Amino acid sequence: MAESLFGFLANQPFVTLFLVLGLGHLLGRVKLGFFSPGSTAGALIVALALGAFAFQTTGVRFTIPDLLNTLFLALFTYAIGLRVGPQFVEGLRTEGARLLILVMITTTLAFVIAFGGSRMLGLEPGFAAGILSGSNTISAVMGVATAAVDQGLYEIPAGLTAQQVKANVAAGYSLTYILSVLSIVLLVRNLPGIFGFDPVKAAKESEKKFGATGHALPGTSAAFGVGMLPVDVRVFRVASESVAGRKVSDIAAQFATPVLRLTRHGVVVPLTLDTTMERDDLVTVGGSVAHLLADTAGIGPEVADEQARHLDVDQAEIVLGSKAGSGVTLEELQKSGALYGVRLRAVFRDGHELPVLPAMPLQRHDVLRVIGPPQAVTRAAGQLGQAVRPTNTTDIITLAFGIAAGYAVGLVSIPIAGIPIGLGAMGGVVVAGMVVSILRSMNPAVGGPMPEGARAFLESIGVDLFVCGLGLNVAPALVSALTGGLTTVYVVLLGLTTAVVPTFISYAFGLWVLKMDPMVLAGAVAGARNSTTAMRAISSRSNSAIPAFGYPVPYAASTVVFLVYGYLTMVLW
Amino acid sequence: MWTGIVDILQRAPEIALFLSLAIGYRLGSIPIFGVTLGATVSTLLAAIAIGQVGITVDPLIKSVLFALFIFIVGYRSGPQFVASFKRAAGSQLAIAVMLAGCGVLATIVVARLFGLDKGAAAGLMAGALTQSPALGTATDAIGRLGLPADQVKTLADSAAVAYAVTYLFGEFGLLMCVRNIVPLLLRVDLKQSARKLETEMHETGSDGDGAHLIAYQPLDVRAYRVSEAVGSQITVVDLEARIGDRAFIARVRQGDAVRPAQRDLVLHPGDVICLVGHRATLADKTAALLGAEVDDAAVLGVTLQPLDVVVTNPTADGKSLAEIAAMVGIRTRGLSIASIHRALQPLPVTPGTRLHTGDVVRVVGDEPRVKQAAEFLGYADWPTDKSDLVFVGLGIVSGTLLGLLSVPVFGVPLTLGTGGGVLVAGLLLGWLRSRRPTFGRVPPAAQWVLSDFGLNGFIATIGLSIGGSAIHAIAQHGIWLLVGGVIVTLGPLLVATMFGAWVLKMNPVILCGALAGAQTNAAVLNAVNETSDSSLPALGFTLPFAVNNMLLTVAGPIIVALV
Repeated sequence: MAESLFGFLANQPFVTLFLVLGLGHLLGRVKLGFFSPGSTAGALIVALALGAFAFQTTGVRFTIPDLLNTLFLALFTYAIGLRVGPQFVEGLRTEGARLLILVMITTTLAFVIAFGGSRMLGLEPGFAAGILSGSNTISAVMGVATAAVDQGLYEIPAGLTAQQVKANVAAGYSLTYILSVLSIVLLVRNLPGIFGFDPVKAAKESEKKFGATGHALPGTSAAFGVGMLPVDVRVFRVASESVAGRKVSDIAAQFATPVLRLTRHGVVVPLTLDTTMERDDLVTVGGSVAHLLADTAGIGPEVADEQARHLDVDQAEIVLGSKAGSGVTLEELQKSGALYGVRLRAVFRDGHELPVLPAMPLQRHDVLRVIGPPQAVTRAAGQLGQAVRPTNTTDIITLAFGIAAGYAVGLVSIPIAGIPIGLGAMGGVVVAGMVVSILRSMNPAVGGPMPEGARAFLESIGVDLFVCGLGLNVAPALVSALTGGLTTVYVVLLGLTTAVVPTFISYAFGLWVLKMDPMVLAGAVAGARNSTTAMRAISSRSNSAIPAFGYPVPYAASTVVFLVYGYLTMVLW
Repeated sequence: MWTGIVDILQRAPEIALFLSLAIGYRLGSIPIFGVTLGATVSTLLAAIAIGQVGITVDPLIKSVLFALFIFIVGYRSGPQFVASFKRAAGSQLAIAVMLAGCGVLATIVVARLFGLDKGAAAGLMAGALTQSPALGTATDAIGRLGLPADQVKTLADSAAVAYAVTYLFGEFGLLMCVRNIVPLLLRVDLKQSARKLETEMHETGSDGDGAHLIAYQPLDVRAYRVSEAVGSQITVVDLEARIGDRAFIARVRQGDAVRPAQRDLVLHPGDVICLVGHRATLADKTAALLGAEVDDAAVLGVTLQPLDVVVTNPTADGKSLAEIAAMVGIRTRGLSIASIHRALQPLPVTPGTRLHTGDVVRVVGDEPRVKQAAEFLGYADWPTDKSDLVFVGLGIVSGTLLGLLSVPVFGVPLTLGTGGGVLVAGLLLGWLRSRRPTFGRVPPAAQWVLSDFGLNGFIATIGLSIGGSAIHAIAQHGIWLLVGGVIVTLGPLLVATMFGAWVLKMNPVILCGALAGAQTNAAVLNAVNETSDSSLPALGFTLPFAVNNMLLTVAGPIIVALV
């Protein structure tokens, strides 16, 4: 029975792969208290278990081609690069130095402990990289290390095969992963307490220190989040004699609220600025609540007409073209009628938000984020430049070319002191993703669209299919690697140390030497450890979102730095 | 330099794959005589060119990418596909079946006439009818014939090349024919017919497809200063009762203090209240009842959380909203229902509206309250960009298993094949999700990237592994492939046109849309829209599109079996 089942699965690697993916995600959802393994660890555990069990009982080996694994790993890595790009640059500019010091302390200590410890304990090659990857819960590190083996950057000693080394990497990862997720969540949750702060009180104080936050950058995932609109739309019936017979544009000027739609006898009238209004027309106006209250009573009574009120709203980012002309101010744009009917939500230049001031001169390539009825948005875009609208399509050209170019650049290595130094294929791909996302934050018309749903999907299916393939391939070798019982104990202990000690030390350092805010620091060390779960844990402990302020920069930085260390762990062994 | 590039491409086929996609998408978007080729065939051409340096790609990659693609095709069209059979649209269905049937027939005739092999015949059909998924299912079926590996590869390669050769005319010829010949055949002016149909249907002005947000929300939030007329010493709950229509007070400003409105809080004249309610209530009567409307940012700044709740709880099934409100009692205060959808169709929201399992109710209120409502009704579908990969993974597995089943018909074992099985699984699961969306979320953006990257990645891996020999072989009867392609492109189209016009007596505008749909070609729909200067052909498009996306895809293995 088992034999024919595993035989079937081995003949249909395709079924096996998706079976492991599905079951792994199911396992990832299992909750033990506040802890759950998450989909990636879940998929890896299922893959390893299935592979090892099939091999132990029936001698069946699953083989998933490496190309498939790296293909999906590349998609994942690129998606990660897209996510962290702008935050990385932004963080460098503001809190930069201190956060980077934290990241360097955490990552370097983790590297030293994992690498040095494995050396001292005499573990086989591959374990150190696996431990570094698992104890910091970054599966991409494992990818970098196995890629280094595949590309022959690590010289495999006599008596070992590449398969065995990769099995050691996977074993190190999977043995340390779960315990370190658990330990880091517990540690970060309690760090402020250990150092004598009441997390709730401390968070309240930090909240006072840090004021408002700006709008999401263009081209980023949250760019088109609607949020609270300060705009209200209301419908009035034209009753006043002073309004009937006048042009739409006059009304807009007089009441400081644009007319968005005109309904006459139940029919929507095509609207231009010169359309005149008649008695009993329904006028749909939009504006801020204060304007509406102060001025519109002059038109007539408010009515709750569903058709008149049923207004489509479009959002867009308009990249100023040459037509608009450099140096024109927002006030002049308003007067020219180019922005009629749309509401300006934010203005960006080179990936930075600018204050919305009437007299501010605009430049070519500035980005105006506007919201309004589709015709108004289209009119504004036609007069000013290029509109970037939210969409479900993805620009495959940029995606595919970015990955191909990053991969190719990553393969190039320059020997320094005998060690070939290069980004590694995945390093190249993550940089490509970051470059694209940074360019997009400056000009969202470039290299897009790339909606968040698609990005998140590539990220999750990329890494999960990668670990499925990896787990199935290396499971037989894992079985033989772990039959030496002492190795398992060493790996687990070393993993725990790597997970906990660097974070503890960098928190102390951040608090006493860098004098950082205790709650922001807690978020920052969670980021430096690349643990979203830990950041969520301290946020819920302190009833505050303040730890999230410290999180993104170290997270972005540590993602990259850990990749480099993962590569070094293999190459320097 | 050259050897260096070749070396990199051979060592890292990933680069070759992504490069083919990048080049293919770029070429596919350049218009030639106003027609763009589309990404798929140009990706194939780019991949064939790059593949000449000699690149090996494991077939498993092909299957994985194709499975992801075909699963999502089914998932997307599932609800439409099932719903289409309920609508009275027999003639549109007939057009679709007619076109697909003629396509298969014409392909078989052409293959017999010109002596094409199984691969070339299937590729020709996929190309001439511009139905790229059929190439995938056909390749899959070829692998199952039980032939030696080298023969399988030869057949699969010739399928891909035949596809590439016939696709060009499949796209151009089809567009030309629909623009110029079909109107001649119908002997009508499409523009006039469209005007006539429009007046018949009283088409109302729509704002186009670009809009994605609707500003019309039935709920509104306004602030009022409580007037003397309201009287002193009235509690929040009493005032709410007086306003009626389930409007509720969310916050109150008394002096400088802004506080949440507890139900027993006593209001005084001069207090500012934040009232949440249906727009009609607020616009029509509250100002007269309460006093002047004011702009008070602190009071108005309530965050109302909309949440889609799927009814799964048996206690709520079959009950009217009024009954549910009575059951839940006071806890419904501060909650409003913005919309109710059943199988993607909106229902009116009235106290008498009965809920059924699987209905999606959008409740609006503050977060604790909407959570409570979700607990009572069933499953909370919080908005997220995450995809449900359990669903995708196990869906594909079950589809594959389904495809492995074979049913003997007259002694011939019939199977769906992996592609067909996964397609059917996607279709069923997509339909189930539309009935009861508690599982299997794949956001539209993810669907898009999955289907595009899946199909074209699959096509690219096919192209990369086609060697020079296959091209030479096909070049020998390349001219016959072209001729055969023309026949298969035009024949079924003309037959279906005449069938629709003379036998079914369809409205010419709807017929043109149905033809575009039966060809599963959105570019043709655009062309028809242009010729008729109207968006009405779209009315005929959807159903044949959904049906033939299935039929023509399944036709791939049929050709392989019958030729």
